[in-house]
Amino acid sequence: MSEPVLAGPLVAESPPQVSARRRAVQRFVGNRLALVSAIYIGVLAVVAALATAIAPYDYAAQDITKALQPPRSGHLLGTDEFGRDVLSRMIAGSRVSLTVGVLSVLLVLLVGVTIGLVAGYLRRWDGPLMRVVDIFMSIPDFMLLLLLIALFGSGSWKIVIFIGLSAWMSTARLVRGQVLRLREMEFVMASECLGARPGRVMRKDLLRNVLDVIMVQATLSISLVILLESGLSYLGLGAQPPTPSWGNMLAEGRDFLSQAWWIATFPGLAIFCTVMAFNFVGDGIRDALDVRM
Amino acid sequence: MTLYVLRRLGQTIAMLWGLTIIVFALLQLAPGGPEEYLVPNNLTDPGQKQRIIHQLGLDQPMLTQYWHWLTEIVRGDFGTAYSYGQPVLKVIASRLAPTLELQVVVILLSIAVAIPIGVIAAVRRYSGVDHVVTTASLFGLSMPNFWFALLLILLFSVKLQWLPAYGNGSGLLLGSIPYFVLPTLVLGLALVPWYARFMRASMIETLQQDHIRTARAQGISERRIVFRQALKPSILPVLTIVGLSLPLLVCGSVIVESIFAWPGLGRLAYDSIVRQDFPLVMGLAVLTGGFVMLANLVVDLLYTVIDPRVVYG
Repeated sequence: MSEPVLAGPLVAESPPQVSARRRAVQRFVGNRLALVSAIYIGVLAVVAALATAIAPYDYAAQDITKALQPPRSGHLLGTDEFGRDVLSRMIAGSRVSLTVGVLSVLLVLLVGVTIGLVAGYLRRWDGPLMRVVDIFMSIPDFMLLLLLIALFGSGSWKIVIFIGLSAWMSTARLVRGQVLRLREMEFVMASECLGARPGRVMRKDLLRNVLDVIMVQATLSISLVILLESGLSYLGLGAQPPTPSWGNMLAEGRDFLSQAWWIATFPGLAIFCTVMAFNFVGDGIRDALDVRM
Repeated sequence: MTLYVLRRLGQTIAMLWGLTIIVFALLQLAPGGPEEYLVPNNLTDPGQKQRIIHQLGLDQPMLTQYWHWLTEIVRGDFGTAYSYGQPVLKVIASRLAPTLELQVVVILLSIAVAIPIGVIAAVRRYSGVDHVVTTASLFGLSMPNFWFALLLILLFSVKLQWLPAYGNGSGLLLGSIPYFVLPTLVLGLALVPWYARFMRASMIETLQQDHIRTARAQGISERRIVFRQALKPSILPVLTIVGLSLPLLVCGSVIVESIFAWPGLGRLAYDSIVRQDFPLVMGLAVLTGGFVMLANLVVDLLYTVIDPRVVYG
């Protein structure tokens, strides 16, 4: 008689089948900082996408009679020295920061992941490629960027390429390290024994298994790239006026710090919050997927 | 050991050579070619332009040009920084000291601050202190240094008038200390969290090792274990990170030196771009890259001295 009594609750209490992916998502959602940051980034992305549609004013519209007005109902974040609306300019600027951030990181991934995969998997290429990585790593990021800007000029699109070309090395190293570990595993050997060519092994077996690491690295890289871009714009070497970017707005507000704190403060805050949000999300994904970097 | 040093030295020289190839290739790829960049563009006399092109060997085949440039570099001649009217090397040498002074101060202070923070966070892992440290370090890493610099200037130089906002107070000796405060704070803000994170991770790893467990089993006090047994092996990996942060400091100082008008290499790099002084830009790229390579070599060699266990084949 005891059998059916035992069987009932045992079946009912057996853990629900949850995929690893789903559990990772649950862990991420449980991380409040990461979740709030992800929502912030989502909202920011929507704002950047709509930009001119939701900005209260034209970001370039000048009105000298309303110059240097402090934040109040008409201009929520005040106006700059030409009477331009700071909020509208920041909304337009979010576009530059996010686009440059995301596109540069995509380029970084394309270069870094390819080199990392090849160096990690094909022993013949490992030495030479890693020496190239070492050489690029020894040129200070900023020096390489400055050299490229000096020779090829500036502007948002060029900055994307320059950052992509000067920031791929750590990704390459990271991916190579992961691949070195993976390539000794049975499933890779099984693929090889079945006659898979190196290209297929790299694409189908290795790439798929480093995706978690790449995702974390990409998120954390976006925050670095946003800092780099805004730094360049601040120096006047990135996005060129009249295109507003958070970096060049900060530079313009610099001269009015003591009389009109709002011009520089809000863009600074925006950079800070966005960079931090990407850092929190990156850390959150890392913890949720339990990735060891 | 001698073999290792020699091999590492050979590698460094090969990398330096690679660096010159990259810089040279970039110059060739740039729109207009090298003569667009290496000949001063304020010349009115076309004959003079031709003479300079000939003098620089820019009318020669590409490989000859590269060879010429390389041999000049090896001899220490990086050409003339025409916006200064002086040899590139001389201009760079005159800016080296302020940057090194600032960097040494920043790195030493950052290590001094980061190591205790990292140790405390590691020993009290997952405690309130650890969380505060982790979150605060993310704050520091996310702060745009140029904004932080502006806020500091606004507070300490404009409002309170305690500290100078620009210059390095050269020739003032002790009087120059106030000039170091703000740039050091700004540069340190990015370095301390970085070092502290590594120190924490490294300490946690050390504390899980067998010899520490043995020490605990022997009843040695936790304080003694941390300071006597765990600290030294944990600091080693941090040394590598310090080596890795050398390029960061040269690059980070482009922004910080520009803001604080610090007469160092970073500001020189910025000025050379604004003035379109290409021999100077190229010289800086090669020299800072070379400097970082040499610094890494020194760090690697120091490693073997500090930790006799590290043996390279």
